[in-house]
Amino acid sequence: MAGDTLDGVPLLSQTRYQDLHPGQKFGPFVEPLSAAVSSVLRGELGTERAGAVAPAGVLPLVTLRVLRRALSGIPPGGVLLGQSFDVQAELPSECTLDVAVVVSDKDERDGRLYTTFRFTIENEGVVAALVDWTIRDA
Amino acid sequence: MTGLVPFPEVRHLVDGAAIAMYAEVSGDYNPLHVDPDYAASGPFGVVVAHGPIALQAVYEAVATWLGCEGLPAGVTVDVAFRGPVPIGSTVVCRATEVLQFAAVVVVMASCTVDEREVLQALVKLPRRLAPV
Repeated sequence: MAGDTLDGVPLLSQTRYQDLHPGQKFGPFVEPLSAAVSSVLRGELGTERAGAVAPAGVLPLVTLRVLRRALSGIPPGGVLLGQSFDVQAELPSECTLDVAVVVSDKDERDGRLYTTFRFTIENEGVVAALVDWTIRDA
Repeated sequence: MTGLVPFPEVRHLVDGAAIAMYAEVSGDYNPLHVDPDYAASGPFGVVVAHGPIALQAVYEAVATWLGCEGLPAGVTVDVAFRGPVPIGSTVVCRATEVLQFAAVVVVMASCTVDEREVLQALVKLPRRLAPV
Protein backbone atom coordinates (compact mmCIF):
# COMPACT_ATOMS: atom_id res chain seq x y z
CA MET A 1 0.00 0.00 0.00
CA ALA A 2 2.79 2.40 0.87
CA GLY A 3 3.83 4.89 -1.76
CA ASP A 4 1.11 4.15 -4.27
CA THR A 5 -1.32 6.71 -5.63
CA LEU A 6 -4.30 4.39 -6.03
CA ASP A 7 -3.50 3.39 -9.58
CA GLY A 8 -3.93 6.90 -10.87
CA VAL A 9 -7.22 7.71 -9.12
CA PRO A 10 -7.28 11.52 -8.98
CA LEU A 11 -7.25 13.34 -5.67
CA LEU A 12 -10.34 15.35 -6.50
CA SER A 13 -13.51 13.94 -8.00
CA GLN A 14 -15.76 15.33 -10.68
CA THR A 15 -18.69 13.96 -8.65
CA ARG A 16 -20.58 16.45 -6.48
CA TYR A 17 -22.24 15.53 -3.22
CA GLN A 18 -25.61 16.59 -4.61
CA ASP A 19 -25.17 13.98 -7.38
CA LEU A 20 -25.18 11.12 -4.86
CA HIS A 21 -28.34 9.45 -3.63
CA PRO A 22 -29.07 7.35 -0.55
CA GLY A 23 -28.69 3.67 -1.23
CA GLN A 24 -26.08 4.20 -3.93
CA LYS A 25 -23.49 1.43 -3.60
CA PHE A 26 -19.86 1.15 -4.64
CA GLY A 27 -17.53 -1.82 -4.53
CA PRO A 28 -16.55 -3.98 -2.84
CA PHE A 29 -12.97 -2.91 -3.41
CA VAL A 30 -9.98 -5.05 -2.57
CA GLU A 31 -7.58 -3.27 -0.22
CA PRO A 32 -4.40 -5.10 0.72
CA LEU A 33 -3.10 -4.19 4.17
CA SER A 34 0.60 -4.72 4.71
CA ALA A 35 2.45 -5.30 7.95
CA ALA A 36 4.59 -2.26 7.11
CA VAL A 37 1.56 0.05 6.97
CA SER A 38 0.17 -1.44 10.17
CA SER A 39 3.52 -0.69 11.83
CA VAL A 40 3.40 2.92 10.67
CA LEU A 41 -0.10 3.38 12.11
CA ARG A 42 0.64 1.78 15.48
CA GLY A 43 1.06 4.70 17.86
CA GLU A 44 2.62 8.05 17.00
CA LEU A 45 3.36 8.47 13.31
CA GLY A 46 7.09 8.14 12.82
CA THR A 47 7.55 5.54 15.53
CA GLU A 48 7.01 2.29 13.68
CA ARG A 49 6.18 -0.72 15.87
CA ALA A 50 5.65 -4.25 14.65
CA GLY A 51 2.72 -6.31 15.86
CA ALA A 52 0.40 -9.14 14.92
CA VAL A 53 -2.86 -7.20 15.14
CA ALA A 54 -3.70 -4.23 12.92
CA PRO A 55 -3.99 -0.94 14.80
CA ALA A 56 -7.26 0.96 14.69
CA GLY A 57 -5.60 3.61 12.53
CA VAL A 58 -6.01 1.34 9.52
CA LEU A 59 -9.78 1.94 9.58
CA PRO A 60 -9.79 5.65 8.61
CA LEU A 61 -6.93 5.00 6.20
CA VAL A 62 -8.60 2.16 4.33
CA THR A 63 -11.93 3.97 4.14
CA LEU A 64 -10.26 7.10 2.78
CA ARG A 65 -8.66 5.04 0.05
CA VAL A 66 -11.95 3.29 -0.74
CA LEU A 67 -13.93 6.53 -0.90
CA ARG A 68 -11.42 7.83 -3.42
CA ARG A 69 -11.80 4.69 -5.49
CA ALA A 70 -15.59 4.80 -5.25
CA LEU A 71 -15.96 8.42 -6.35
CA SER A 72 -12.85 8.62 -8.57
CA GLY A 73 -11.39 11.09 -6.10
CA ILE A 74 -12.83 13.09 -3.23
CA PRO A 75 -15.46 15.70 -4.17
CA PRO A 76 -13.90 19.10 -3.59
CA GLY A 77 -15.06 21.52 -0.96
CA GLY A 78 -16.39 19.07 1.59
CA VAL A 79 -15.59 19.21 5.29
CA LEU A 80 -15.20 15.96 7.22
CA LEU A 81 -17.35 16.44 10.32
CA GLY A 82 -17.25 13.05 11.92
CA GLN A 83 -16.39 9.40 11.72
CA SER A 84 -17.76 6.41 13.63
CA PHE A 85 -16.04 3.08 14.04
CA ASP A 86 -17.84 -0.07 15.14
CA VAL A 87 -15.27 -2.81 15.62
CA GLN A 88 -16.64 -6.33 15.22
CA ALA A 89 -13.45 -8.36 14.88
CA GLU A 90 -9.73 -7.77 15.19
CA LEU A 91 -7.77 -7.59 11.96
CA PRO A 92 -4.37 -9.15 11.45
CA SER A 93 -1.66 -6.64 10.64
CA GLU A 94 -1.30 -8.13 7.17
CA CYS A 95 -4.40 -9.18 5.26
CA THR A 96 -6.53 -8.46 2.21
CA LEU A 97 -9.72 -6.56 2.92
CA ASP A 98 -12.94 -6.27 0.94
CA VAL A 99 -14.53 -2.90 1.50
CA ALA A 100 -17.94 -1.82 0.22
CA VAL A 101 -19.41 1.65 0.63
CA VAL A 102 -22.95 2.94 0.39
CA VAL A 103 -24.42 6.42 0.60
CA SER A 104 -26.39 5.81 3.77
CA ASP A 105 -27.92 9.23 4.34
CA LYS A 106 -28.31 12.70 2.86
CA ASP A 107 -29.73 15.57 4.83
CA GLU A 108 -30.09 19.25 4.03
CA ARG A 109 -30.13 21.64 6.96
CA ASP A 110 -29.73 25.39 7.00
CA GLY A 111 -28.96 25.33 3.30
CA ARG A 112 -26.11 22.87 3.71
CA LEU A 113 -25.91 19.32 2.49
CA TYR A 114 -24.76 16.56 4.83
CA THR A 115 -23.79 13.22 3.29
CA THR A 116 -23.08 10.05 5.25
CA PHE A 117 -21.21 7.07 3.85
CA ARG A 118 -21.29 3.61 5.45
CA PHE A 119 -18.29 1.36 4.84
CA THR A 120 -18.38 -2.37 5.51
CA ILE A 121 -14.92 -3.84 5.98
CA GLU A 122 -14.61 -7.59 5.62
CA ASN A 123 -11.70 -9.93 6.14
CA GLU A 124 -12.06 -13.45 4.76
CA GLY A 125 -15.82 -13.03 4.50
CA VAL A 126 -16.27 -11.84 8.07
CA VAL A 127 -17.31 -8.28 8.86
CA ALA A 128 -14.49 -6.71 10.86
CA ALA A 129 -15.77 -3.15 11.15
CA LEU A 130 -18.50 -0.76 10.12
CA VAL A 131 -17.33 2.79 9.54
CA ASP A 132 -19.41 5.92 8.92
CA TRP A 133 -18.18 9.21 7.53
CA THR A 134 -20.26 12.38 7.61
CA ILE A 135 -19.23 15.18 5.26
CA ARG A 136 -20.71 18.66 5.00
CA ASP A 137 -20.64 20.16 1.56
CA ALA A 138 -19.20 23.64 1.74
CA MET B 1 -13.28 6.62 37.32
CA THR B 2 -13.61 4.61 40.53
CA GLY B 3 -12.23 1.10 40.20
CA LEU B 4 -10.86 1.55 36.71
CA VAL B 5 -7.31 2.07 35.58
CA PRO B 6 -6.99 5.79 34.71
CA PHE B 7 -7.33 6.60 31.03
CA PRO B 8 -3.85 7.65 29.87
CA GLU B 9 -2.89 11.04 28.46
CA VAL B 10 -1.19 10.69 25.08
CA ARG B 11 0.84 13.33 23.22
CA HIS B 12 1.69 13.10 19.54
CA LEU B 13 3.92 15.49 17.63
CA VAL B 14 2.51 16.15 14.16
CA ASP B 15 5.51 17.33 12.22
CA GLY B 16 6.27 17.38 8.53
CA ALA B 17 7.63 13.84 8.63
CA ALA B 18 4.42 12.52 10.19
CA ILE B 19 2.25 14.26 7.60
CA ALA B 20 4.47 13.03 4.77
CA MET B 21 4.26 9.51 6.13
CA TYR B 22 0.46 9.63 6.25
CA ALA B 23 0.36 11.00 2.70
CA GLU B 24 2.51 8.11 1.58
CA VAL B 25 0.41 5.35 3.12
CA SER B 26 -2.94 6.92 2.24
CA GLY B 27 -2.04 8.20 -1.22
CA ASP B 28 -3.61 11.54 -0.19
CA TYR B 29 -1.25 14.22 -1.46
CA ASN B 30 -3.77 17.05 -1.22
CA PRO B 31 -1.59 20.18 -1.38
CA LEU B 32 -3.25 21.49 1.79
CA HIS B 33 -1.32 18.72 3.54
CA VAL B 34 1.96 18.58 1.65
CA ASP B 35 2.64 21.86 -0.19
CA PRO B 36 3.65 24.79 2.06
CA ASP B 37 3.35 27.36 -0.74
CA TYR B 38 -0.15 26.22 -1.71
CA ALA B 39 -1.22 25.94 1.92
CA ALA B 40 0.01 29.46 2.65
CA SER B 41 -2.71 30.83 0.38
CA GLY B 42 -5.34 28.38 1.64
CA PRO B 43 -7.95 28.73 4.38
CA PHE B 44 -5.55 27.89 7.23
CA GLY B 45 -2.44 29.75 6.05
CA VAL B 46 -0.17 26.80 6.81
CA VAL B 47 0.06 23.10 6.05
CA VAL B 48 -2.49 21.15 8.10
CA ALA B 49 -2.52 17.47 8.94
CA HIS B 50 -4.88 14.94 7.41
CA GLY B 51 -7.91 14.66 9.72
CA PRO B 52 -7.26 11.10 10.91
CA ILE B 53 -3.76 11.98 12.15
CA ALA B 54 -5.20 13.53 15.33
CA LEU B 55 -7.22 10.37 15.76
CA GLN B 56 -3.99 8.41 16.14
CA ALA B 57 -3.61 9.85 19.65
CA VAL B 58 -7.09 8.63 20.61
CA TYR B 59 -6.39 5.18 19.28
CA GLU B 60 -3.09 4.95 21.10
CA ALA B 61 -4.72 6.07 24.35
CA VAL B 62 -7.48 3.48 24.04
CA ALA B 63 -5.12 0.67 23.03
CA THR B 64 -2.75 1.51 25.90
CA TRP B 65 -5.63 1.68 28.35
CA LEU B 66 -7.03 -1.67 27.22
CA GLY B 67 -3.60 -3.25 26.87
CA CYS B 68 -4.12 -4.35 23.29
CA GLU B 69 -2.69 -3.62 19.84
CA GLY B 70 -5.91 -2.84 18.01
CA LEU B 71 -9.45 -2.29 19.19
CA PRO B 72 -11.23 -5.40 20.46
CA ALA B 73 -14.60 -6.47 19.08
CA GLY B 74 -17.42 -4.60 20.75
CA VAL B 75 -15.66 -1.24 20.95
CA THR B 76 -17.15 1.74 19.16
CA VAL B 77 -15.53 5.12 18.64
CA ASP B 78 -17.50 8.17 17.51
CA VAL B 79 -15.39 11.12 16.45
CA ALA B 80 -16.26 14.77 15.80
CA PHE B 81 -13.59 16.82 14.09
CA ARG B 82 -13.52 20.34 15.56
CA GLY B 83 -10.61 22.06 13.93
CA PRO B 84 -7.42 21.76 11.90
CA VAL B 85 -4.09 20.51 13.23
CA PRO B 86 -1.32 22.78 11.90
CA ILE B 87 2.04 21.30 11.06
CA GLY B 88 4.38 21.26 14.04
CA SER B 89 1.56 20.90 16.57
CA THR B 90 1.47 18.54 19.51
CA VAL B 91 -1.89 16.80 19.83
CA VAL B 92 -2.81 15.97 23.42
CA CYS B 93 -5.52 13.38 24.06
CA ARG B 94 -7.14 13.26 27.48
CA ALA B 95 -10.30 11.75 28.93
CA THR B 96 -12.75 14.42 30.01
CA GLU B 97 -15.19 12.00 31.61
CA VAL B 98 -15.52 8.28 32.20
CA LEU B 99 -19.01 6.93 32.82
CA GLN B 100 -19.74 3.45 34.09
CA PHE B 101 -23.04 1.74 33.43
CA ALA B 102 -24.19 -1.79 34.11
CA ALA B 103 -23.03 -3.22 30.83
CA VAL B 104 -20.87 -0.56 29.22
CA VAL B 105 -18.19 2.00 29.99
CA VAL B 106 -18.15 5.28 28.10
CA VAL B 107 -15.06 7.45 27.78
CA MET B 108 -15.42 11.00 26.56
CA ALA B 109 -12.06 12.16 25.25
CA SER B 110 -10.78 15.39 23.81
CA CYS B 111 -7.77 16.14 21.65
CA THR B 112 -6.31 19.62 21.90
CA VAL B 113 -3.56 21.66 20.31
CA ASP B 114 -2.38 24.46 22.59
CA GLU B 115 -5.58 23.96 24.61
CA ARG B 116 -7.73 24.44 21.46
CA GLU B 117 -9.97 21.44 20.89
CA VAL B 118 -9.43 19.79 17.52
CA LEU B 119 -11.31 16.54 18.04
CA GLN B 120 -13.84 14.95 20.38
CA ALA B 121 -14.22 11.21 20.76
CA LEU B 122 -16.80 9.05 22.46
CA VAL B 123 -15.49 5.57 23.15
CA LYS B 124 -17.94 2.86 24.23
CA LEU B 125 -16.87 -0.59 25.31
CA PRO B 126 -18.39 -3.58 27.05
CA ARG B 127 -17.76 -3.26 30.76
CA ARG B 128 -15.91 -6.60 30.80
CA LEU B 129 -13.17 -5.01 28.64
CA ALA B 130 -12.58 -2.03 30.92
CA PRO B 131 -9.28 -2.36 32.80
CA VAL B 132 -9.53 -2.57 36.59
